[in-house]
Amino acid sequence: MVQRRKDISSELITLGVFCALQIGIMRVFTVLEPRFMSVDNLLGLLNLVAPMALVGLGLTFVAVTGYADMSFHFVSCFGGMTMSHMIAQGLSPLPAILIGGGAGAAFGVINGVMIGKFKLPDMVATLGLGAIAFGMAYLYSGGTQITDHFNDSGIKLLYTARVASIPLPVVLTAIAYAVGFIVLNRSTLGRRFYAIGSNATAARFSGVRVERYVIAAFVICAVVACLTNIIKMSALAKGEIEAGLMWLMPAYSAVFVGVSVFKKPTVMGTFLGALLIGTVQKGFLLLGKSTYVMELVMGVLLIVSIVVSRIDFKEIIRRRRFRAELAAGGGVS
Amino acid sequence: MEELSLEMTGIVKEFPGVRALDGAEFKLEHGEVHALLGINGAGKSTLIKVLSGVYRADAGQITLNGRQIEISSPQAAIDAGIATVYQDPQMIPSFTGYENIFLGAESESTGLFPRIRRKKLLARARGLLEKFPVDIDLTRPVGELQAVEKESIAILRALSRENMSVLVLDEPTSILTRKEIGILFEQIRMLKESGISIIYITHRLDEVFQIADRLTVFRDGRNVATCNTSAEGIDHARIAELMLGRELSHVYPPKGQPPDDDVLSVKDLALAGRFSETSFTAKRGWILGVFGLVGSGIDDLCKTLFGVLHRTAGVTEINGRKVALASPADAIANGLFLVPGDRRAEGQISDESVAFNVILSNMARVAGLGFLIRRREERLAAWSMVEELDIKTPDVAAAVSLLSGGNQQKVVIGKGLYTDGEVYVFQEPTVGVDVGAKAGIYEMIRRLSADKGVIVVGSDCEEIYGLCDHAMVMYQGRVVMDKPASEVRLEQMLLCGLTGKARE
Repeated sequence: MVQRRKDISSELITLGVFCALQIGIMRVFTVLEPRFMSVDNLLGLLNLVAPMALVGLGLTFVAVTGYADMSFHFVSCFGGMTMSHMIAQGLSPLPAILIGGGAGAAFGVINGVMIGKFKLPDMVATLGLGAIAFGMAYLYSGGTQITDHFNDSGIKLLYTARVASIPLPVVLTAIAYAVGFIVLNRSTLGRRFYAIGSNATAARFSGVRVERYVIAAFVICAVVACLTNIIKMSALAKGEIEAGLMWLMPAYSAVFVGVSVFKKPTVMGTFLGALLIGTVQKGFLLLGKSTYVMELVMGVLLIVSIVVSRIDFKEIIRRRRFRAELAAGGGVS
Repeated sequence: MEELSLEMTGIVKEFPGVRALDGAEFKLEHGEVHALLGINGAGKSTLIKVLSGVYRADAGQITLNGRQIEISSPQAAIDAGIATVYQDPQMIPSFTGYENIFLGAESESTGLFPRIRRKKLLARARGLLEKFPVDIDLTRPVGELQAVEKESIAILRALSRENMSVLVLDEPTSILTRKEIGILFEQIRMLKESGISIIYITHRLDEVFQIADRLTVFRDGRNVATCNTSAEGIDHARIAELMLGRELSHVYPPKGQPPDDDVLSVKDLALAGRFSETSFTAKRGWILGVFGLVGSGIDDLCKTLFGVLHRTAGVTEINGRKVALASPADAIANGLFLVPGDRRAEGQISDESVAFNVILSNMARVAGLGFLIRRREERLAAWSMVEELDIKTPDVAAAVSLLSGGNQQKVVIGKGLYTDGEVYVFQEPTVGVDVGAKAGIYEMIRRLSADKGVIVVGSDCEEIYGLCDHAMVMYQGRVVMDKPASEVRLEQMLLCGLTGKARE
């Protein structure tokens, strides 16, 4: 009676196609610019991909529960400036980072309560709260940069330190992904996030405390965005208000490229998405193209991936196989 | 013989596993109000959907005013002069009355930008009011109107079609107050006088005698009787008998043993405005059946008991211990599980696998360290549930959406069984389930009742009667019958649910 799971194969096909695409893009860049495959450039690629993958991971949680968050980039500005302010006040890096992340968590809770409890429309409500967060980010410095103690507090180590010669941001991203993968793919928590995203009413009737999980998703998204931006600021060696604004596009692009591969938001998919986007960006940077060309390419990638995610290859294959099993007399009514 | 307004003959409509209409006939005379009656699943709503173009009949003929017609789409039905007003008419709330009346037919000119002449539309709408004088402000947004006023707008919309000759009213009174029903009946009489033939679908037998000239009773996809409402020997009891027929159409498992101890005891449960104080108990070895029509409060009762809606009064005890059930999560943690009535919306996560669904309410059973799912155990648990309930699925990793209705329902039940609860409430347990799978579900419910408290709630009178050991009937938010099943006949139970009055 027990049969092997056959679903995997069709997923492998999509994954194969995706890898071919990734390798193809890398080939094109190598032909255009042989330095693309140099160790230096590849390490740079890793450094570029890591934060995009990280911020995308946070957004994946919100996407899995079926919502959108338009505030995390604004909130990351506030979290980053909070951290910078703490550093400038003479606080040591670790507590400063924790306070910055905590500021993000507070906004995540507000988002989650607005949407999970009061059922406000997610896009508009988060955009509104994001604007508030961005406005509040100005409170610390009135719009100028914060640089005090950035060079002597040790906060720069967050970006420059290496673990076994791998940059710390890359290591942190890898750890975050390992945790994220276990939570979403292997734990009871992940099941509940996915259940809510698929049918929140049925999840509630199944005993899932929906509000709590919606709040948790928005908190994770906001905190991860803040941490990403804090790493960015330690790289810039200053608190820069608008530094966080850049995270919106790569996060959504990474998540939706992932959805186009796996047909639902997944940890793996978001990582592959970030890798693809990072590769394209890095290539354009190396070719000396200006940033607006990059923005343009990112926009195209996002739209193409949404279109592809609407085409349900997997479902088509699955239905065909199911019918074949029916025809073969698999005892299915 | 006088020409009929509408004649439907030999109508057949099949769905997978069910023959909803089996050679049905229906005859409508000019200018009459004709009530269409039948229990759930008798085929009356399928007949109306065939008539209004929602479904296409597999066989049969439809003749309108002596001319044979083909109804291939809702638009074709409207063009032929058949208008349908559903229970809760769909309108655009921010548009005014007259805008809703002419929605989609605002302009005679066809161009890239057909102009809407509001004054002309309003004048046309006022013209309709002369034909059909109802007291209603057509310039107010529909969202601000009362239920009966919306109903009137929907009727005006139907009248705005020049050739409209047959009007179908599908349970028009289910959301109206007593006073509003009076207003609606006045309007129906006016329409009748203007020569329009009306098909009136209802569950409320009192209304049949108030408004209808003739009635047709449907059962098992066929019309079993058509007669004048004033005919001799036609009363509530006779209609209930006709609706049910002689023998039960399904085989139900034998009745249970004399009751054991109470598992669930509910005292004075109430939800203000929806249903009043209701008390009941569920005992081991015994099935409690709660019958009520749509709108009788059974749906609210289930949801309130399960903690989806927040009760305004009442105490729930499980195994003698008082429990506060403020959410489904609380209810499940305390051993109460609801198999909800709307499976797709409330019961199942359709896109996910059978295994995902089965363990969803009690994942701790397959989790290590309290939160890591052991996938091998998960598969084994899901397989054992598949075998226990005889769920037909190629694999436990198959998405629930790919299964048939009956097997989907079994997955939802399996999710409940996997919580190993104390009390199970089944709401409409066999809606959308094919005949073959029904018997299996009935037997499973009976088996389960041996050592759990079981309550079956629904609007299918026959099913509730066939299953239960103790019968409760709800009508407009209150309990109107509460007796051992052995002391009740099926006709009494149905009659009680239809009229709210228990008769001997």
